[in-house]
Order: sequence, then C-alpha cells, then structure tokens
Amino acid sequence: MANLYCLGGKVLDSEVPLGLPPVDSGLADVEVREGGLGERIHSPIAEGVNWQASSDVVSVRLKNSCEFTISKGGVRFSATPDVSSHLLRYALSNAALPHVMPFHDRLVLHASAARFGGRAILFAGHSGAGKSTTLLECLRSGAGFITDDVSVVGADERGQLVVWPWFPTLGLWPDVESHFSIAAKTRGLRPGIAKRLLDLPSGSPEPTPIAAVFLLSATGDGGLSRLEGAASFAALRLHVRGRRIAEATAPALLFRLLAALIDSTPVFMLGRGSSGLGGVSERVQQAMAASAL
Amino acid sequence: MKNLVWIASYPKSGNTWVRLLLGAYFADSPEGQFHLLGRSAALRAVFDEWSVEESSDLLAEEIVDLRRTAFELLNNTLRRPVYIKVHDSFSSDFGEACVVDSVTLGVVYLVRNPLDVAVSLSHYLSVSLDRAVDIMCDEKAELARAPHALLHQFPQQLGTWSTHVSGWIRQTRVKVLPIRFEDLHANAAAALASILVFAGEVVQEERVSLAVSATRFDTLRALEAREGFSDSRSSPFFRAGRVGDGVRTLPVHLRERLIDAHGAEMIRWGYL
Repeated sequence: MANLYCLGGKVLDSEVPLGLPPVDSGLADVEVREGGLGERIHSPIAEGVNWQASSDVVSVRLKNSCEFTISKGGVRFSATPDVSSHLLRYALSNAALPHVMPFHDRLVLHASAARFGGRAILFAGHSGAGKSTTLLECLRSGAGFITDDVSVVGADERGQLVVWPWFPTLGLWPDVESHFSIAAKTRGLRPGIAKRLLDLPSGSPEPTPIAAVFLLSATGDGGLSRLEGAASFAALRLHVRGRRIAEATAPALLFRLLAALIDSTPVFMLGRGSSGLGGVSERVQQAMAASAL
Repeated sequence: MKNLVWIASYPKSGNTWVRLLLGAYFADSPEGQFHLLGRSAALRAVFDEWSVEESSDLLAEEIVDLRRTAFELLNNTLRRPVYIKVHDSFSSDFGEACVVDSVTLGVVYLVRNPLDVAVSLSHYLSVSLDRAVDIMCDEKAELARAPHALLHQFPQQLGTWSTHVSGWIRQTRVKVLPIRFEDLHANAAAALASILVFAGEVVQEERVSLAVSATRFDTLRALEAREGFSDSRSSPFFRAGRVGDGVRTLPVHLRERLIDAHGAEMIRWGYL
C-alpha cells in the first residue's frame, strides 16, 4: 500500500512509512522502493567515501547497513536485516532523500530553519557549529520549527526563494539535552553514538520565504558580520549539503540558486563566542535583530 | 601525484604561525591572510565533505578507514601541495590510517622546548601549570575529547610530549622536515624557505619577506585584538610567542618533572 507524503514541495510515494503527515492523493514525483538496485557506477564523474555519482544517478553504500540508488524518479534501497525501521528512516532522511532534491530544482543546504511570523531564518554550519542548538533556542523564543540540518531551498510559483520543511526530528547531544532540560523526550540514534533525536509534531508542508541566512562558526568571538557578493557566494557554497554530489549532478542549478539566494537574501557570519551554550540566547537575539524580525 | 604536506606538531609549538606564514606567502595580499588558516586534519567538515553520512553518526572504528579515503579523494582533486595541520601523534589511529605514502608529499614537524610548551598550553587550555605538565606526561592525553557534546573537531590522540616528537621524527613511512620553534623564531624567513623547498615549491624571496613581515608576532597580536581570531579557545591566542618562558616561569618542581620525563628527547633537540 502506498504511503503518500509531501516533502520538499514534492509528492513522495514510499513503501516505507516515513512518519510524516500523509497526503490523500497526488501524482508522485518521487518514489521510495525496496530492491532494484543497479550495478555500481563504472565511470563515476565524482565519488566520495561512501557514494559515487554520474550525471543522473547517485549510488550510496553505508557500511554494514543500507544501500541506495538515487535518481530523479526516487530512491531504491536495500538494508541489512538488523537495520531498524527508525534507522532506515533516518538514513533515508539524511543520506538518500536530500540527494533527490537537486534533480527537482531544489538546493539543499546544511542548515536548520526557524519560522518567525511568516519568514524563515536559516542557520547553516558544519558539524558541531551549533545549528540544532540555535534552532532549539529559537523554538524556546516562540519561533516555529521548519527543519533541522536539511534545508530544501527553491523558488515557489511566484519565483520567491523559500525553504520547505523536512523530517520533524532534531539531532542533538547530551549537553544540549541537559541545557534545555529535554532528556525525557529524546531517543537514541544507535548504540555507541551519543547523539539523541527529538521528534517534534509535524507541521504544515507549505514553504516559508527566506528572510536571512546565518553561517554559524564553531569558533570565533561571537561577532556578527554581513557577507557581500562573491564572499557570500563562496561561503554559502561550502554549506551545500552533499556539495560534491550536487556539483556532479546539478552544477547549473547549484550556481543559479546560490546566486539567487545571495541576490535576494542577506547572508551573515555569526561566531559562537566564548560562552558556549550559555551564549546561544544572545546568538538568536543577534540573528533576529539583524534579520529585522 | 602526492600533494598533502602535513604540518605536524604537539599543540602550542608554532603550527598556527607556520600556517599563517604559508597563507601569507601564497595570498595575493599578505596582509589579508590573517583568517586563511587552511585545513586542519581534525576538522569534521573535511571528512563530511566527502561522505553522505556525517562523522557524528559514525563510530570511531567505522571512521578510521573512511578518513583515509577522504584524504585520498582530496589529494586526487589537487594540482599543487596543500598544507594540513595535525596534532595527533603519528602512532594514533589518525596517523596510522591517514599519513600514508600514497598521498603524503611530506611532513613538516615542529618541535618546541617542552618547558615553553607547558606555559603556553596552560594558557591555551585555561588550566594550571601543574595540569599542563600532567597532560604532557600522560600517554593517553587527548585533545577535543567530549563524550557528551559534539565538537567541530575529531578527538586527537597526543600521547606524551616525548612520544609525540619521537613518533613523527623517527617514522620511516614518509619523509619529514624537522623545524625547531626556536629556529623559526630566530629566522622565520629561513624556516619558511626550507618548508617551501621541502614541498617542491619555487621560493620567491620577496614573497618570503612580505610573509614574514605580515606575520610578525606583534602584528598578529594587534590583528587579533582588532578582529578576533577564529582558532582561539583562549584569549588572546597570540599571547607571547617567546623563547624561554618556561625557564623563567615554571616552578622548579615542574621543570624537574618535565626533564625527568622528557630529558632524553630534550637533549636531542638542544634544550638541555
């Protein structure tokens, strides 16, 4: 039986229940099916430690767990028997489905996003920069949840740049759990990994116009500075999720949407400061003020 | 083609200074190099760029081989040498897995008098001098190990100061250029030129002079005061950069402890 969802503004038909709000009907843009994996890509135009890409197919092999073949039509997968449904869903949401989006005119940033009124602030950053922590602080300040870690960006029907929601799950660490007193609400990811997951209620699948993008730095003095022109393009490019894959499968889209984003949206650098988790509230205040929200 | 030059050192031994020198040498504007620190092997972002799974979702034993592959892939994209900071010991999981002949053009190893390292380390980590000396004598010493938090760096296995130095210097897998911090301090131009020659670069004397002038310690300290410094966990990062602080500052019992633990290696490097 088909499970129809809306994800990244596309209709998804999945054999695997994804825990998203179902949609009643629609013609699927993207399918998630078990089996039917192709051969390895013999002459990849790009490859990473656990993926290979041609211009229209991406092959992903996660060590001892899942394999995915990703194309415009969707994701084919196989998983070893010991992979739980939770872990499969996590792998689909983080390692497979983001790479479908560039085939559908969507840019995926390594960013979290919060909704303030009707506008979104994106917090992009490398692993450990504090995206999820900053997002949690936004939620505590009354903002709405859009996405953690995977921000799907594209143009809506009016040509306005927007961000679509992704899976309503936050990844965080015990120190953050403790800071926000939410340990009772989280669950583990897998044995031996300290990362915790916080499931939130699913919201509307509708997109939100982007007000500003903040590039979080894991170090630095906590200062805020606006990036302009080529500097903002170069900095933002480093926060494209799966950049090496997107550059192989959709280089023109990447350039076009990054250029459109820096043209229409202010981009800032925001340092962590020396006070660590204690300074996250100040960080959010700085971001809101700079975004004129 | 081998393009990776590892700038290896025990912490607080001049690694950042050397990378700033190299950054200034290769920058279009030497004065504009302050924030161009280049790559650090420990950054999770360097690995995550090549993986669809973030390093924070993987167990340490799952990452080891993947990190080597990431550096092989990085090496394959390069047309000229790149300089990468390493604080891990050579015998660490990282050194064993990633500092391999197939990608390594060479290792520049920076060594500094451990008495001075202790003083600088104490400031950097905001710990007592006693604790800094403990760390330098601890076989299991690590940087950036935080089981309950996600740091932007991988944990780095240091070992003791002596095993760190001897491990990198006496390994025979890849070629190594040792440079004493004290010689760098006395003649930064000569040290920079020797690194460039080691990496097979053509040395341009004028650029060397400009790079040295742009990275004088007082210049760096003034820049940090004005702009902050991205690599800092202590403030200021550029504190003194002096030679001989350890002898002047360390209490006798700590000097004796370091000499007891590291005397043999200190003699080899002219510190005793």
